[in-house]
Amino acid sequence: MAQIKRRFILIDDDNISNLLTKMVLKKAFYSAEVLVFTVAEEGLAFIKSDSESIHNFDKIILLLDINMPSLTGWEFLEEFKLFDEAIKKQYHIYIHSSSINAIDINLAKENKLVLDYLEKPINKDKFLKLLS
Amino acid sequence: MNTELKILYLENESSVDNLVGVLLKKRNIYFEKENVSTLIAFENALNDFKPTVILADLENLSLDVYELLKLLKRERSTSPLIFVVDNISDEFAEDILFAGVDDYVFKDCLLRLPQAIFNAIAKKNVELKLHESERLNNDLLSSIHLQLAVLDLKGNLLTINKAWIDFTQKKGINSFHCAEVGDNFFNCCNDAIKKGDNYAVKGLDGIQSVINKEKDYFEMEYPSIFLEEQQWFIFSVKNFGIDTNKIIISLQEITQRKIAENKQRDTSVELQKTLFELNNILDSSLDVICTINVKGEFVYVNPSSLKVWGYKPEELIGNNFMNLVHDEDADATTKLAEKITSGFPSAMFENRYVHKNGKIVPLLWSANWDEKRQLVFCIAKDVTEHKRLEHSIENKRDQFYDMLVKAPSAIGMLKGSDHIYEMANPLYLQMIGKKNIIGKSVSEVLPEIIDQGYISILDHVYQTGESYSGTETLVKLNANNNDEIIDFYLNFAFQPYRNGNGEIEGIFFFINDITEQIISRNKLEKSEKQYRQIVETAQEGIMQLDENSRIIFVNKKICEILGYTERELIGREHFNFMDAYEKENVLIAFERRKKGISEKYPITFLTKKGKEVLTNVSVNPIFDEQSNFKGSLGMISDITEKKKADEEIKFKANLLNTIGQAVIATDLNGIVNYWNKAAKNIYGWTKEEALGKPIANLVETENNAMEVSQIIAALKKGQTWSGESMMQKKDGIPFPALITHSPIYNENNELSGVIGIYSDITEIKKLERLLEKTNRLAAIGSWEIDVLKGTVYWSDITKEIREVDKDFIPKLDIGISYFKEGIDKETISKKVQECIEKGTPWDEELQIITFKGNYKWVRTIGEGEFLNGKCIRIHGSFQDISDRKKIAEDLRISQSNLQAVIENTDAAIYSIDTKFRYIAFNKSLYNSVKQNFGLEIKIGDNTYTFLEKLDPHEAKKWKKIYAKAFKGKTVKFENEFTTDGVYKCYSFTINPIWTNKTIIGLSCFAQDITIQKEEQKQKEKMIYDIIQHNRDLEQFSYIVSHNLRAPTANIMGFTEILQEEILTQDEQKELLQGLSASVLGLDSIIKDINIILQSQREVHKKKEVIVFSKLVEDIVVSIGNLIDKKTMHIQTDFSEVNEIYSLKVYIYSIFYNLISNSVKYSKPNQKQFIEVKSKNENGKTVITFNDNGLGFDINSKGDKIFGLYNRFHSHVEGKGMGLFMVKTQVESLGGKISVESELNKGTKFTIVF
Repeated sequence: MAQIKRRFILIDDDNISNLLTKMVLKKAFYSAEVLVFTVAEEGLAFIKSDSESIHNFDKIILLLDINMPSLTGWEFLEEFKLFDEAIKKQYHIYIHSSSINAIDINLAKENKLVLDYLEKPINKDKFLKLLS
Repeated sequence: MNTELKILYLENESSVDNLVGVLLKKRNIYFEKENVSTLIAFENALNDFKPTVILADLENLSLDVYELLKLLKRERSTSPLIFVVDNISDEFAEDILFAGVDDYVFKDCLLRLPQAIFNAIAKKNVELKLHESERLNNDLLSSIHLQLAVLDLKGNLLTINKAWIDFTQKKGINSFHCAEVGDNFFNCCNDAIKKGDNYAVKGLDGIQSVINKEKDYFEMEYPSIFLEEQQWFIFSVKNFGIDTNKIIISLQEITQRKIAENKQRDTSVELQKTLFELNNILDSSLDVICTINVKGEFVYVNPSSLKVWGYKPEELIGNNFMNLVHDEDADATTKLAEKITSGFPSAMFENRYVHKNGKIVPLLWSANWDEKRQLVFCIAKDVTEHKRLEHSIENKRDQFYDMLVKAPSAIGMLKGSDHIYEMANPLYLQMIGKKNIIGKSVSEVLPEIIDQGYISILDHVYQTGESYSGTETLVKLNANNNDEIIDFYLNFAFQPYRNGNGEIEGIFFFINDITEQIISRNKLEKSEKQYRQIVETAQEGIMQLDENSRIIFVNKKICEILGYTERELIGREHFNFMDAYEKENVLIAFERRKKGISEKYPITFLTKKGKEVLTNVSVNPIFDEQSNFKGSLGMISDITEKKKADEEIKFKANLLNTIGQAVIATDLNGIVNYWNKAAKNIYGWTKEEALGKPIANLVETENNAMEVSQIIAALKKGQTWSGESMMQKKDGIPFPALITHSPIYNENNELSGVIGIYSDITEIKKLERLLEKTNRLAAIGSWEIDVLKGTVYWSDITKEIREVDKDFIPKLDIGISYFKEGIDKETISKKVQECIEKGTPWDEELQIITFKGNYKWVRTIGEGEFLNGKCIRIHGSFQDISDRKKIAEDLRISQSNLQAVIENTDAAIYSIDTKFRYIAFNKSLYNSVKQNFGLEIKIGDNTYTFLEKLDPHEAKKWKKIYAKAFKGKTVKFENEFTTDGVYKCYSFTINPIWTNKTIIGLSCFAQDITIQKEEQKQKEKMIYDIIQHNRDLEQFSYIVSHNLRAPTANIMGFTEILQEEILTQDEQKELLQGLSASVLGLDSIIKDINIILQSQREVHKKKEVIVFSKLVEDIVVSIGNLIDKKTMHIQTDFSEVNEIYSLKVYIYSIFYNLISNSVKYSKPNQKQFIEVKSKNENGKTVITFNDNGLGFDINSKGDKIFGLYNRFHSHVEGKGMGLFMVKTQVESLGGKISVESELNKGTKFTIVF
């Protein structure tokens, strides 16, 4: 098993889903560091202020939910777009949603900041495949 | 060493006591001791015994150590406490030392005790001193006005004194040093710098420089601003004594000093300025300014001395002024100087100085004695120029007077508004016959001229400054002083004169008496006038020439004849008014004049317009007494008129040639003696061919023979004969001609010939035939009744109309008898009768019965012919108009049908004229207006009366529409309105009515389209509902893909891990909990969907009256636990509408959701209000919910607010279903909901039912 030090950031208001995802990630990557933000704004603030990770980590994987109360996944991306290049290039963003709506999937595919659309639930194999 | 010690033992241990005693004695220290064993005793001992040291055996002490220490502290004891111990743990030792025990000594080294006592006492003393000095410092600091603050090197404020606190607590202060203990002073400075405070920049730099040891000391003056006043401080920064880790900031108020400084600065600037100006004045003065001491020496002289006296100041200073004084003035000046130096008040005097160049300079002096300085201050003005001017003015004045006296005009000067004589020359006095007038007013001297208006002229000149002059003006004066008024003719001028300031001071007058000239001229003019009148009124033109043939006189008649004015003629040679040929003639004639020949001859003049005027001239030469030729005088008469008459004859002859008819004259034998051009054109014979030939050979046909004899007979009776006759052209072609023959008489009034006028009427005949044909086509027949003979003539067409044969011979009565019985027959009988009796013509449309028994409509026109007042004949036309009548009747029927349609239609139809008056309207409009507006309209009523019944806005709209239609546009529109709760919709079409390209009115058509409209609306509603349903379906699909899917995905995820992974007990438990929660979530969503679907169906349930105020009360009770009564205020206003007839479940849910939302999304820790109001707008109930809560950004979230499972706030629990339900319920009740909101300001929902 690859033992790279990885950081994952989950931005999702669904606590149950976060519990599940966190568990899957821990199973997949023993050394994974998982940060969870149930309020999207707080996630944004963290990313903006966290300059240390640029040096300490390989690419950070950001799993972003779409359907959130105050700031949706899409709105989160609009804000993120305005960040410094140095910060932005540190992140690999995946949309991680339970939606099976074709509109959502297409929107994710079209968004340049998004690498892929991951349909919930995500499992270990999918992750490993994704990051190999 | 014999220090006195007072030892207080606690629960004495004799061994210690003894040992201490021994040890102290050994050291030769005297001491007292006391033992206590209770806390009370200890406390008393502290106060009474006042021990220098307290000793105790810790191991044997029954009292609590901490209690002891507390007591010591409370009693503010300064006595050190030392324990004697057997054994003690390090922790406990540390503990008690920290708590306040001064020292401890082990029993096995009690030898150390005395030293320990001394050490403890010494330490206590030092502490005491330190404490005292600290208190002293504090007292000192707080009592001084200096504001003091101590900072550490990071800028944290450690201490501030009272003055500093007082200052910072003042109201309205604005200073960067307003900081409190605990604040960071650097931050305070930086905040002020951000606001642009430059002193803060300087202050902060200063502090840093002291901290960085760049400076020992920093100081600046700095103002701090209160609401209105300004205070100045010296802001200084120093190291805090030897403590290099602190700095001290002090602020000393220097406002008063600053104010004084500023004042002083301002004053000194002013002073400098004044001095500078004074120096300037001294230097640039044109007058000599100098000071002279008691000895008469110049002390100061300004630079003007060079100009005035020719000496530079430095040449004069130190010299005696008397050296410069002119010899003749020396004595007087010396005396005056003595007077001045003896303190005589300031004097003005004149004297003369001698210039360096020898010239004498007259000076005007002003001098002042300064007793204190013992100096004379002098100003000397050079009055040379002044003297010269004075002199020349005197000269001028003399000259002026001389001139005045000798002037040939009457001249004088008046002063002031009353016109007081200030001066008058002798000629004037002579003229008015008065003496001693100076000082008197004009109206006083010459009262007679007041009424003649001359005083008012003088007033005008004096007031306005405009000069006035009169020419040949009549003035009546009492010049002989005997009440005899004499006429004077005067030329005069009044001229205002002004003083040095330009103000009018008085009036100069210049008068020339021209009475003599005027009187003699008047006489001459009178005689000349009489003479002139004769000449002017002469019927003949009179012209006088001088010896050079130039016109020197003409009378009016000549001007009339030639069309020139007198001015244009005088001075020019007479031949200028003739052509070249005539000029030659008159020049020769003029030579004859010089020889003294008088003669009459014609001259043709040319008028101004270039017309020739033929004149007869009778002309005589003029010689003076010395028989010198002086010109000529001609009497000229215009003979153009006479000549005109001659020419008229010629013209008439020409005229005959130019007319279109042949004019032929013959003698009594029929021989042609005149043949005009038209005769040639008509007959083909030329004038030359025709003249001298018998007319019969030229024009007449054989048929004419009888006529000729008739003509001759008529002519012989002196009558004119006219008639139609066939004539023959030169080439033998016959043609019809209208001929008039008239007799010609010679001078003796005997018949001498015949003149015939022949018109070719071929064309006319053609036209007649055409008319006949046309008449036939138009079925117009003619008829004639010969009243005298009683015969009747009917034309063929008349016979056709009457349906009789062509050879039918009508009789007198038959015509009338075949009119239809009744009104038709009566009318025609009456008309014929009237025509015969009064000559009244008729034109009637009546019905006849033909001879075959058919009814026909005819138009009969009749007219009588009269001879000597008696009707001899009636003729007229007869036209079959049955077809036209039929068409008219058809039209009438169709019109009445149309009318019936219009009257019976439901649509309101009306028309108005340009003045908005009803021209016509149908029953429907009448009824509608009466029913809806209680107005009974009539034709001719102004439609504005109706518009006034409408809402002003509506009326305005109508006026606009009418105006538009009157511009030629067809206006179509629909109008919806609700009266008494009944909805109506009308469609209007308004057309302009055109006649000959002008609009004479409007036709308006209004149709009730309420039913169509309602149907349309229903359709629209259906479409809207379908769209809504579709949207709901989309929403549902969204729910499925997002919300329903979310817990499902979680369940899938959990089960997968459970199946595949090797899990610990804890992990397994966690997973199962997650799984269970997901399943619950799924269930909850399914239940939600059920509720939603249910609610969309419930709308058909029974409705009831719901009272708003009660509803809100119930809701407030049910969500009472959510409401914080202190901060939440729910305000309602249902005064306008307090109830609604609706589905209670829904209304409750709507109110509940909106109110509980407002409570949930209120701003924490703030006064919150919710306002629920209802009102009536256009028959609809409007309910508003207003709050001042969190709100949301309407631009980015507006479209989602009513969406299912949409939430905007993370901090409050919620499913995002409330507003979805509200919207669903409002809409299923047929209402509409809208929202306005602003982030952090509040939200307003508006529901309209």
